[in-house]
Order: sequence, then C-alpha cells, then structure tokens
Amino acid sequence: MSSRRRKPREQSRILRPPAQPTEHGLAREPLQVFVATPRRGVRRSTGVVLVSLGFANPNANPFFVRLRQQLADRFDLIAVGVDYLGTRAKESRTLTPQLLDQDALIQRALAGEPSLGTAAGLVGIGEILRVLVGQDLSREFLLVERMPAQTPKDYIDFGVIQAVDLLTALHAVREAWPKANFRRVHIVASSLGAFLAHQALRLAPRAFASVLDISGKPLLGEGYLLHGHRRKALMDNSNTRVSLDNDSPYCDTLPLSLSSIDLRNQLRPWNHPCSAVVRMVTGAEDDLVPLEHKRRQQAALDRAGAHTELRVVGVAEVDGTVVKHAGHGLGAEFYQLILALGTDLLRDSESPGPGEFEERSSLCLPVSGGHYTVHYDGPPTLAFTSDCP
Amino acid sequence: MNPELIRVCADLLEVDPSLLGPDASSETIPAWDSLLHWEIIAEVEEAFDVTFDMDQAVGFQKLGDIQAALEAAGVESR
Repeated sequence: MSSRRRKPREQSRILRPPAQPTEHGLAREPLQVFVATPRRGVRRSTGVVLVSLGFANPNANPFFVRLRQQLADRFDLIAVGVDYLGTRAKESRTLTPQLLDQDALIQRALAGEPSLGTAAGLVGIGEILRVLVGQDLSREFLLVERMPAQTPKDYIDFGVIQAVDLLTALHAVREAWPKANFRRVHIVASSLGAFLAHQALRLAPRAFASVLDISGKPLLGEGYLLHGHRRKALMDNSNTRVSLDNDSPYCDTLPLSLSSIDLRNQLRPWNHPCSAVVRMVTGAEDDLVPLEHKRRQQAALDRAGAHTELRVVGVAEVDGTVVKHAGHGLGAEFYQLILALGTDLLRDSESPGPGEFEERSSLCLPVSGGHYTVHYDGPPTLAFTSDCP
Repeated sequence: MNPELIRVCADLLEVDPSLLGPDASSETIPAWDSLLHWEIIAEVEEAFDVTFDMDQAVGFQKLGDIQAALEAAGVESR
C-alpha cells in the first residue's frame, strides 16, 4: 500500500574495490558495487545475492535499486549489483525502441557521429557502442597486439574478467560484513548477466548455494549482442583495431550452427563439483536463447557435476502478469520471475562446504592465445600467461 | 488528472502532456518501457512525498492507476 509519509526506501551503499588490471596494462576504474542490506540489519543469518543484470540494464535504475532492497528485506540477504559494463550512476535509463534499431545505430556510429550518446540523451547507447566497436568488453581479448591471428576459440574468452569482477564484489562484501552467512550466497541473473553468472560459477563452483538463470545465454557467440553481419561490418571499419577470424562464432549469422558450440571445452576448467543448485528458466519462444542450446547447456552442466533444473516457459504458461511472454525475459519482469521461480532457492538453500575463498585455491582457464589463472588468496586476482611464441 | 503527475511523466517520457490521460500506458506511449516505468514511480514518489510498495507499483498498468494510488495516499487529484 502507498504511504503519505515517506520512509527510507533503501539501505544502500556503493563499494568500490579495485578492478583487475588487464594483461595489456589497460587502466580500469574501480568497480562500482551496489549493495542493499536488510533494513532490519545484517545478522549472522544474512546471506548474499548477486543480482547480475542483462545487457544495458543499469544498476542505478530505480527499478534495480528497489529490486535489490526487496530481495534484501524479503530474504534476509545482502543484495549486490556489479557494473560490469561500466554504467555510471547518472546513466539511469535503458534501451528504448529507437536504440533497438541497431542497423540505424551502427550506421550512425560508423559515420563517426561523435555526439551520438549525448544527442540521443539516452544511456545505454554508450555501452552499446563500446561493445559494438570492441572498445570495452572485448578489447582485453581482441586487441590485435595479443592475438594477431584469432582462433575459432575466441568466444570462450569473453566474460572472464567480468566474472572475476563478480567474485571481487563478493569478496568486498565479505570484508565489509564478515559475520554474515557466506553459505547463503546466491546469484539471480538474466540474459547477459546470467551468462556471466555461469562464468562466475565456473570460476568458483563452491561459492554459491544457487543460481537462478533467467533467459541466460549459454555462450556469447550466437548473435547475442548483435547479428554476425553487423559485427563483421564493424570489424571491417578501419577505425577499429579489432580483428576477428571469419570462422569465429562471433561472425556467424543467426542461427549459429550448434556444432560450433563446445560446452565441454567451456566447462573443462572445473576441477571439483559444483555445489550450487542451477535453475535455468527459458522461454519456449526465446529467439535469443534457443531452447535446444539451453538443453545442451543443462546436459553439459550435469556432466560437469552440477545440480541443474531447466524450466521451460511455454505459451500456455503465459499469464500476462508474472510471465508476460514466452520469449526473452528482460527488464522489470525480473522481479516477478524471481519471486515466482526463485523464492525457495533464496530462502532455503545453502552451500554445504567451503568456498574457494576459504581454500585459497587457484584455477587455470584456457583462452585464446594463452590461459588465465585465477588466484583466491585474498581478493580474486587474474593473471594471463601467453602461450604464443 | 493531477497536473504535477502529468508534468513529471511528460518530462520523463518526453511526450506532449496532452497524450497523458488516465489510460496512458506502455501500450500507448512507446517510450514507456518497463524500466522507465520505475523511473516514473521514483519521480512521482519524490514529487508527492509518498512511497509505493514494490508489489503495489508492479501492478500499475496505466497512468490512471498511479493517480488512484496517489489519491488513496491523500494526494488531491487537482
């Protein structure tokens, strides 16, 4: 119910742990970790939930601010969002139908329109353009200096740094609230954020009690950010310093051949069983995440020792309120879907044993042109070793 | 309709206030997406010094619903 007298809407703060440097020496700003704590206080029972948002969903948007506070209060959790896309607090808007016209957007970008973001007055566009021209998300991996010859494996490279950012945020929360219950660490995630959730789970399989993956991409090489021909057009732009092998799934047009997805390779770094319950929710008519891909991901996760559940939302389940369509779930539906499909996980599940942080273990992760090693001695650190001659 | 409510929404949606009647919604205003909806809620709360519960605000389907909630909270409609 509404109240005429205002009460504190949130108990929130922003942590700014240092971000991982890249092997290229590219400077990175400190992470922005948005944290909401239960208004009744953090107790020994209080757990953590990482809220990993979809592409261009800004943490500072009032919906996500309120979502984190709701999760904190309702489930006795410290709710955490990480700006893996570099969104700034003032950038509080999201995609609009105009911005979804990617063809027009790309043409304007290629024409070198310098004030595109400002002129549009809409946020998200800067992020989109950075992604499109490989200047942010992919620059660490795709710069020609390191990989003059791209390999078809380049799609497995994406997301490593962003996943370490998630673990860094979790570590920062542990330092800020050391008496909270870190057997209750969950991830709720959508779309690109769910892709990153799986990456984080891959890096820290015992750190999490549950993962609720809503419309998550198994891999990013399937036309997720943009269709292949668009990316190729950008890569051909002489203003960029990025190149991609034509055999890369990044360059495929939709639909990507399933034969090019090698989830076993993606999951190879797992060196011990995953403790999390992984509940994947996907729309039967999701054209960004084909159901068949999700089924293959589930099979691969099961083979890797995960406890998975796959819930397919068909047209018959669409009720117009909680489930508004059987397509790719985005935006503010996230809240209702979490309540409808994740309440039991957030309330009841705990991880049984020590997490990577207690073990001080490390993990080797092969990527194109070398491998990463993640160390958990303190805040997670990432080191790249080149296998190139 | 409350003129301040209209003003807040028109500013955020960047539309002519005349388009914002009680039935205005994401169906009639293309810019009114699910996340901008929550910016509207936050701005309305600020402007009228009220607080909506999240579960309540999830149910706001059109501008008239927000107006009704404001009236229930004691805000005059004009």
